[in-house]
Amino acid sequence: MIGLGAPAWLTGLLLIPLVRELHRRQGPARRVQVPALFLWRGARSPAATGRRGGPPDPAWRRRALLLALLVVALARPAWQGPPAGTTPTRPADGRDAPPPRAPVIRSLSARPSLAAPERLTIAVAVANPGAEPASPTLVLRLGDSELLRRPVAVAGGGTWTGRIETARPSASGTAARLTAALTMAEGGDGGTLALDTAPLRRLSVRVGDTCGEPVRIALRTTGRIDVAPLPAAADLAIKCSERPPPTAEAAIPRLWLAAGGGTRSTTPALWTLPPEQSPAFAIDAGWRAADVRAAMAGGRVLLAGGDRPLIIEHDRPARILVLLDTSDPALAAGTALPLLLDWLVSRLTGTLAADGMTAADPPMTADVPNPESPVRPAPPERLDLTAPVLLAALLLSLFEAAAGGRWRTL
Amino acid sequence: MPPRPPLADVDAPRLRRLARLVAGLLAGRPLHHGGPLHHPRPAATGLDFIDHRDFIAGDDPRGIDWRASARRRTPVVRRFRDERAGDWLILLDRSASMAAGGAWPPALQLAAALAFVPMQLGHRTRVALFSGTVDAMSSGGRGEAAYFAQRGLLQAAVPRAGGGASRPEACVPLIDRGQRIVLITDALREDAMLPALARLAAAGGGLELLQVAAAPPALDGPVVAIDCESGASLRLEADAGARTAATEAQARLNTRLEAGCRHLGVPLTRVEPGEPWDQVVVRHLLRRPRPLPPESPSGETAARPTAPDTAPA
Repeated sequence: MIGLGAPAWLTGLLLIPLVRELHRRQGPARRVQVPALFLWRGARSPAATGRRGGPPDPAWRRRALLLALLVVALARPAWQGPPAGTTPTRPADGRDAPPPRAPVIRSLSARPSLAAPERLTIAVAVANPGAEPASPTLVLRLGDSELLRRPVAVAGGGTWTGRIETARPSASGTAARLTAALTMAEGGDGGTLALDTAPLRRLSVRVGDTCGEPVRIALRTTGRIDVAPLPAAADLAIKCSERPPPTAEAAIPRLWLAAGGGTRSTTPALWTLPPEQSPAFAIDAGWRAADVRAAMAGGRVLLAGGDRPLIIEHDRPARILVLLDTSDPALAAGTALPLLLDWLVSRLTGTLAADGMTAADPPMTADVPNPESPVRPAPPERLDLTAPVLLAALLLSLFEAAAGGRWRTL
Repeated sequence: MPPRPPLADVDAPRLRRLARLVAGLLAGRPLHHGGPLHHPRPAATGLDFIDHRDFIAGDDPRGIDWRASARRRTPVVRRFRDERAGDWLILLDRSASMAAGGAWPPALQLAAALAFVPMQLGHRTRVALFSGTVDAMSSGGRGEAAYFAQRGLLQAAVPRAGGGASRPEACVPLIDRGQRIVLITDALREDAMLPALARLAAAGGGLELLQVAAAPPALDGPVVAIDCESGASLRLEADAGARTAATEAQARLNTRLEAGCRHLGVPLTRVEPGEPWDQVVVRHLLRRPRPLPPESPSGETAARPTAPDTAPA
């Protein structure tokens, strides 16, 4: 669509009739040299021809066009297309995007519930980029089960945020797929956002019979450990033994907890991982560790204390050796053991620990307002047409100058 | 790209061919009877031998040099210096009207040719340029050196950009008694240049006039016409009627000039725009007028030209 930056300049087009009238009048005539002027004495003078009231010089059209081009150039013409960057929001499932100004699902996230780790807290945010309030229906599904279906009232330019708790999924794949969908009251589709909650799923873990009660309690505290009755269903095997674990390849990751301990340390254990990879808890002084020298061969030390490794990680086969005395009542009395076991389990299984969170955002959120910042719609795409118009005026004026007024028609 | 000089077409081979053609067409007749050394004997019968030339049909067989013809195995005739040879004065108008009307290039070509051809026929020539006064002149003579001097003068000549006038009578002091005068001009004067022609004819041994017609200026619409020589201006409406009136005024001027030339005995050759210069030279020197234009049923001739191009002397 053609737009004008300064349309007031178009009033200059009113001068075109004046240009025509001026060409009807006798302007400064061309001066032409002739070899003999006496030969032209028989010609009539312009006054005698009555030219003043006659038709205008046909060259007035060319000059009026030049004037019109200059006036239009002053009015700053531009072609205005759709707003730049306003690609419709594409839902995560690839379906068609909702109308640009309709409510959309801005975010969808899930994390373990702080009060009940065996449950997930699901947070969903619905944004309304339009100016009018809207009440779309929000539908949340986890796998095949519908968790929520309720209308949400979102003010114009506002965001609605809701939370819901549900049990952790027990399996990965489709069963762990969390889907949030919006349905408009007038029948439109507000888009869908999907989230994979498999990293937060419950784990099937085989726990060895020799593991003490502190370990079992700590595992239950994580809220996501199911003691597997069958070996085939296990995600992880935990074994407590005084002997070092076998180095043979295993089908599932193994967590080997050393039994027995020596003297208590007087210094805290230190993580050897980079700060961004280290867990947020610490093993204070007073820990005990088993003396299993065979476990020191190879592997990556995760935790060390008193110049000796306390936790060693092996990649092939995937296993972690814990030399800390997990049966120590002093260790089990604090919060470190559940957190340590939860972190080790998540590291071995590739899942998220108790403080982990997974979230999904729309890939393109140009139309989605950010609650923390005011809504600023992108300016429309504007192609300035002043230069082409000026170029046309320049060409016309060059033609006029080259012709010197000899060409009386355009 | 600069324009081609007018004299580029007037080269030596074409001039020599033209001179041979004129000599052949004259067939022994004198080019003119002027000059101070008039002699009743016909051409090529003098005593001062110059050289041989090829025999041309119409030559007197007594002039054949049989020994030279035997050596060359082609008939040749002896050529003697024409004891009736005269002096030719070529007057070229370089007033501003010659440039404004586009008559300058053909006038320059004709001056160069008319300075060469009589020289080849044994005459002496001299070239002078004039406008309101005598602007430049060459020394008279014959032979290659004299012609090159005259050609150099013509090559360096340019018409006046403005002002001045066409006054050939200013050249009267240059004229020797009995000298043949060739005047090349557009004759664009209200008096048709007749008083000037009378003075020139009286001062010399004969006057010939080549009127180089100028293309009418393409005027259209209201214009201020300015005379390129006098600077006078006239505001006029250059419509079809005005153009017709100007053409009729030019025709009346031509008629008056022709009548005056006929009265003064001045041969007149009118050169139309675009006419080849060599054809004009032949037509002028041989006095072969072109046929008259057909008369209209009312008895009036066409507006242009209104008179034969060459008025016999």
